[in-house]
Amino acid sequence: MRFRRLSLDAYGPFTATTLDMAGAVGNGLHLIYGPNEAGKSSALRAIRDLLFGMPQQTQDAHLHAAPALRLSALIERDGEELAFARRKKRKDSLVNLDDQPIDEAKLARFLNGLDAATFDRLFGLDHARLQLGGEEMLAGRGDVGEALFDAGASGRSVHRVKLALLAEAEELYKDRGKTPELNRLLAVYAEQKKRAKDSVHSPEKYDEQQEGVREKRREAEARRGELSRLRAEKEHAVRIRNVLSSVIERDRKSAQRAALGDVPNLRRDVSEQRERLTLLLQEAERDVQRLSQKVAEEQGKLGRLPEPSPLLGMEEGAVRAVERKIGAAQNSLIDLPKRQAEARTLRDAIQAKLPRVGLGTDIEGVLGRSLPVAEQARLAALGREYQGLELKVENAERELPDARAKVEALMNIISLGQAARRIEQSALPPPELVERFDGELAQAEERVEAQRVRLAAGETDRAALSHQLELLRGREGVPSAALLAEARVQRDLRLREAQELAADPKRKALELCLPLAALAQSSAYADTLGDRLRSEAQRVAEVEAVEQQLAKLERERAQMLADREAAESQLREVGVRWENAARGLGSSELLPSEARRVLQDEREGWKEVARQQQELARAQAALGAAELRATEAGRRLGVWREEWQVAVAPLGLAANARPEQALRLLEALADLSSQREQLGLIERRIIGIERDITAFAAEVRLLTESFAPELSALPAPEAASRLLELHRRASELARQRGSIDGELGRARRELGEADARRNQHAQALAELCREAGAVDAASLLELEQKVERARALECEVEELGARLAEVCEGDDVDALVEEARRSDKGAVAARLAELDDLIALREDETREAEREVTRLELGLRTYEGRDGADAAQELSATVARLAELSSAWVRRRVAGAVLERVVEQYRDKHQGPVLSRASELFRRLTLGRFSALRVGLEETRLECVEAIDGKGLEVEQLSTGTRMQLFLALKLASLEQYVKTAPPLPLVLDDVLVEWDDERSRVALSVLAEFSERLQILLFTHHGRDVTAAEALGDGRIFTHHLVPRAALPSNAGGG
Amino acid sequence: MKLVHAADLHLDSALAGLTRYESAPADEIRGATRRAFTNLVSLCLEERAALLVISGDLFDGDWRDISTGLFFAAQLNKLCEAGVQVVWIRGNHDAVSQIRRSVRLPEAVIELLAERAETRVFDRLGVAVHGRSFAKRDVTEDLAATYPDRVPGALNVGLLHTALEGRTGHDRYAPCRVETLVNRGYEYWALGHVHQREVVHVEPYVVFPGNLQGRHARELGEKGAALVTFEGDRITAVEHRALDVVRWAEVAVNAAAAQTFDDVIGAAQLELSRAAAAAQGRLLAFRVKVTGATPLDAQLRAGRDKLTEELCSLSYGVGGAGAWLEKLVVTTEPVAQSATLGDDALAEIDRALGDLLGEAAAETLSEYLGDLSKKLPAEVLAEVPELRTLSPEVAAELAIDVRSLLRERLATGQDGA
Repeated sequence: MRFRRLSLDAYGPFTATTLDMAGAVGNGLHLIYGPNEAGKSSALRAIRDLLFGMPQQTQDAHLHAAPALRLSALIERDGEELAFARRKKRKDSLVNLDDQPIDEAKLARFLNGLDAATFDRLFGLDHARLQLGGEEMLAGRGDVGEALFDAGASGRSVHRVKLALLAEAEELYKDRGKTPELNRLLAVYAEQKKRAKDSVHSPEKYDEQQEGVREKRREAEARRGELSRLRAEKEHAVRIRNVLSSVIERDRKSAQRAALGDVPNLRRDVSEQRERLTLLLQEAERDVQRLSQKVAEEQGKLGRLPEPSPLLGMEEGAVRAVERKIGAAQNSLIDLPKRQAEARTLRDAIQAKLPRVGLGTDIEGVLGRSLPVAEQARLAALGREYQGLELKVENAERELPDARAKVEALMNIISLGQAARRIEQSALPPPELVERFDGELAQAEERVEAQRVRLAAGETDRAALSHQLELLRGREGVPSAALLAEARVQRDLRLREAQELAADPKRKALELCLPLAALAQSSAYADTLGDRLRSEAQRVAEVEAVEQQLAKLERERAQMLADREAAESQLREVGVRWENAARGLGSSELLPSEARRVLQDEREGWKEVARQQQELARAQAALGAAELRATEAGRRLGVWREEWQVAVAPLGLAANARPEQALRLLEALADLSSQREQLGLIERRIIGIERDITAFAAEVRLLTESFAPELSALPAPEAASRLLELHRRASELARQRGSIDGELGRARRELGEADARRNQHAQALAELCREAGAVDAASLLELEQKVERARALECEVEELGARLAEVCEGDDVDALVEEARRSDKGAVAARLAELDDLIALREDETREAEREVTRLELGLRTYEGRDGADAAQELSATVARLAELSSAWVRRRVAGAVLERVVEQYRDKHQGPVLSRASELFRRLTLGRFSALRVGLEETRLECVEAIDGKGLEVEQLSTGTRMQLFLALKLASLEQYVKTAPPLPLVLDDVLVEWDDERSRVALSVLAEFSERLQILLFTHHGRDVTAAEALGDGRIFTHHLVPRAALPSNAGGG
Repeated sequence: MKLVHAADLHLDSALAGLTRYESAPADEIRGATRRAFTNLVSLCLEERAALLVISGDLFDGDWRDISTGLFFAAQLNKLCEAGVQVVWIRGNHDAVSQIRRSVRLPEAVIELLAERAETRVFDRLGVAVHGRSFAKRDVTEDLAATYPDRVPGALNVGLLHTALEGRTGHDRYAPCRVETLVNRGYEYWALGHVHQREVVHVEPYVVFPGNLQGRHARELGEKGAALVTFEGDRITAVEHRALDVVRWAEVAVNAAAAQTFDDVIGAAQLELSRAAAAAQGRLLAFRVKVTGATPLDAQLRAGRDKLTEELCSLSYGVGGAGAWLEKLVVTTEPVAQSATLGDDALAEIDRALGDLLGEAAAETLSEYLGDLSKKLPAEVLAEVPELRTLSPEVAAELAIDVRSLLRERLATGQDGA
């Protein structure tokens, strides 16, 4: 099969790119040149995708979306053609040119039914695979069979695959290994098998164990029976032992009761009644005795008390009144002399003060001078006002000279400040004006400077260009179109002249010589100019350019000069305006900046003058105010003096008396008045005290005369005191008598009651004794005790009988009692001890037997598990794994064996023909350095025969490049063999010559061109050298195609 | 009233072929047959069944673990306490079971005689059960012919362990014709021995309930017992109830449409999730079979290990009680054989394979396969036919695998690392 056309309609970076191979005679070696980035790799993939379908994930759907990808081709085999296209689809991706699906089998037939991998393996070779092929030969140490197989099959290492299979098989199993998986698992299997066997609980063993359990149960049962018997015997013996003491006791008690004989049937509560009555009787007798004694005692007390006093006849109200007043009377007697002394002291003090006031010695007369309260207040107010007025007058007198001095000082400062100013305030120009002039002047100066700089720069450029122009013109100058036109005019002139001369028949030929010479000269000159204009066009153009630049510079210079002039004129104009303005400042010489400083100073000076003037105004105002205050103070003082004179007159003071003096007099009068008032109070108090003492004495005298005349002679307070004491004592005695009378009456009443009780109880006790048949209480007690003893014995006998019945638990009591009477207590105790030991022993034995039963039963429970089944399940998993691994091992072993055979057979079959053809190819590809290939050592190793000395080199001894050439030779020779038996398919080579030198590349291309006689070769290269080499070969079998990505060109520029 | 019919319990027999791998749910697989039997007991109790009949093969004959019998007895005790009558016969597997002899079953559990066919009439239930146990493993006589006549007025149930006239994969024990059974006049024939569920005849019913728990990859699908509802001597319904705890499934993947290895995995995942859904939360033991003509043929065959690994990890993600890959079987075919291989080196492989696995294969191979077959236990060897006498089919399959392995390795340059 071969391609006649291959179109990358929409694929990778390509759009409608066609490699037309129809023009090739035969198969052709198609050199497809695609420099880097030209999409060579995409084009390579396109071949595979076209023939075998595009993969699910494609890297070629970047320019065109995946559904739009399309490749198409026209292929041919033995005259039969197939035009088809390939789309990117999961199904029906193979279509005809009308996009109708076609059967893959149609295409498969053209491809010998090969799948993609096989096609790739057999008919694809790139640089990497070529290199790998060489390396694999090295790895296989040049084994002929392997090398031939690798070249024929794929370039993959059969050697490596063989080793890998062997290694994998050995990892799985080795005949005498331990660690490989299968060997290890076999050991695991053996273990698990044993465990599974051990885990199984056999029925026999189970039966045996069950029998063991039954046996043990029987034994335990026997032990339990024996134990029960012993326990029953013990129980009986215990009963005999218990019964024995009860029987003896009962017999003894019965005998004691019999000894007591008959006893009367006493009332059940006779003892209680007797004891109660005896106690009551004793108590009543004790009460009678105690109360008789009490009556006697109270009567004695009454006899010892005195007769009642007459003082008890005093009225209670009178006694309470004396009691109340006696304290006050005693205090008045003490207080009176103190008050009298106070009154004397005050009178003396008033008398002493009077002369100091100076208004006479009669106190009442002096006090008559006192002012009413309102007058006093007014006097005090005038006094206070005087102090204020006095201060104001003083202040006004002090203030006035200071204020006047300040006004004068300020007036001096102001006149000095005004004298210091250079310019009148009204003549000061506004500051904005100066600012504006300053700005304008600066701008104008800047403009002048800028124009100067530009002019200087223009001068420099002009000098440089002039120099350049000079150089360009050189000594000969430069021809110009104007010169040429001028020369042509001159030439034409000469021509006309010559023509005219020539036309004039009169002229002689000789005359024509000069004009002709001139014509010739001017023609030559014009031609020379014309020629030079052409030949020196570059220089002429440059000169023209420089001249144009110079002219431009000249124009610019004129403009700049004009600009500079304008700037300077503006500067001058601003200066004149400023001078006019500055004249007002007194100096037209000042610059605006200096003027700004002068103006600043002047303004500050005037500001200071204005401030001082304001200060002066304030000082003058203050002086006016002070003068006003002084006048007002004088006036107020006059008025005050008039009021004062009127106010102090009643006090007998002169008009010029000082306010302090009047106030002190008023204070002294007030003091005297106060002391006089206090003296009055004390004198009234003395009179009251004397009146109270007299009244109390009268009251006391009345009482003493009626009830205690012996006290009448005593002073009233003492008499009253003694009277009250006597009355208190008489009252106390009367109370004592009343109390004793009460006690005596109560004791007599209780005595009567106690006596009655005593008689009643004695009578009841006598009745009780009589009822029991006893003479008295003592004999009744004896009788009671005898009856009680008899009853107790009867009860005990009865209780013992009941206990015996209980112990017998329903057995025949009499029989048991009889047996007990016959038994010996010691013998019974001994048997009991013996039984205890036996029971303890048997209990241990029984427990042990029962424990054994439990243990054995638990043992049986272990049979209920699932260990056996689980172990079998585990074993089953291992069996499955063993089978799986064995199967894998068998496959690898057989694969290894097959490969070995294949290589052997392949060598046998292909060694001859392939090796001889490869030999020839290798010789050519190595430019004759090697003459042949042969089989060397042990007839299995490949050797390359060196042309120079016929020495055989093994693969290991070859360089990498030579090994690649060897592999290519083998590959091509193998393919030749293939196409002998099967229709050829295109061989797709990619950059296989990339590392080869020019000469070897050329030879390789020649070899491949020759090879293309057998099958079509598509050689992709990114090396321009290969294209050049191919063109240089001039071989008609080689066709060159250029890959152009995208739609840069309307269609591809393919073609040989 | 209801009766439950089960057969072929094969208590405590192992589930075969489940290779252990890291994520395999090993604990869940243990005791599967016991748990299935527990499910049977629960079914009887929940449905308040009056009668449980078991048609043979309670135990495997060579299984000698008494624990199995004790477990069986304990479960039957529960039924007896609930008043469920149990009747069973021995089949070929438990005909000579020693376990049975050593375990004491509750008195209400009736094992029918082997010497002759006998009838037990349960007046309380209005049911007559006829049956006969196997006296030995290989009973080849027609036992059905010896069964008693029907008891009038009762529901007649015949217990029989038989392969009828033969069933694939089952020994032809106690052979009999369906007509024989039909003509006997019983209302229900409770059969055992065949592990695949089958209602052989309706009116009267002749039913194989199948075994209770699938035990290997050939016992696929639902496994359980038949629940029979009857009124007087008339059967009103026969329903199958799934009681298995591990469900065996075959995940069939047709690789014909697959373009990549991942496509195959995807298809397997889809099928696996379907199988898991059908298992209704049970643990799934599955075998994957990849078939179809595919360009991935060689890749799949050679890449078994990788594919197995992928499938194991798939099983990890299956819901319910999980899933266990039993085996991967690849029987794909290439899309198109190279029509004209010519002198292609790989064509040599086919030739060499033909030589190696041809008529004298066993001898030739023994040179390469050494003594592994001697070292492998018989039960393993039974699963590796390549190591036994090589049949043409096995040789052919081996050849395809080896060819694929070599082609893949040589084509991709894989050295297996």
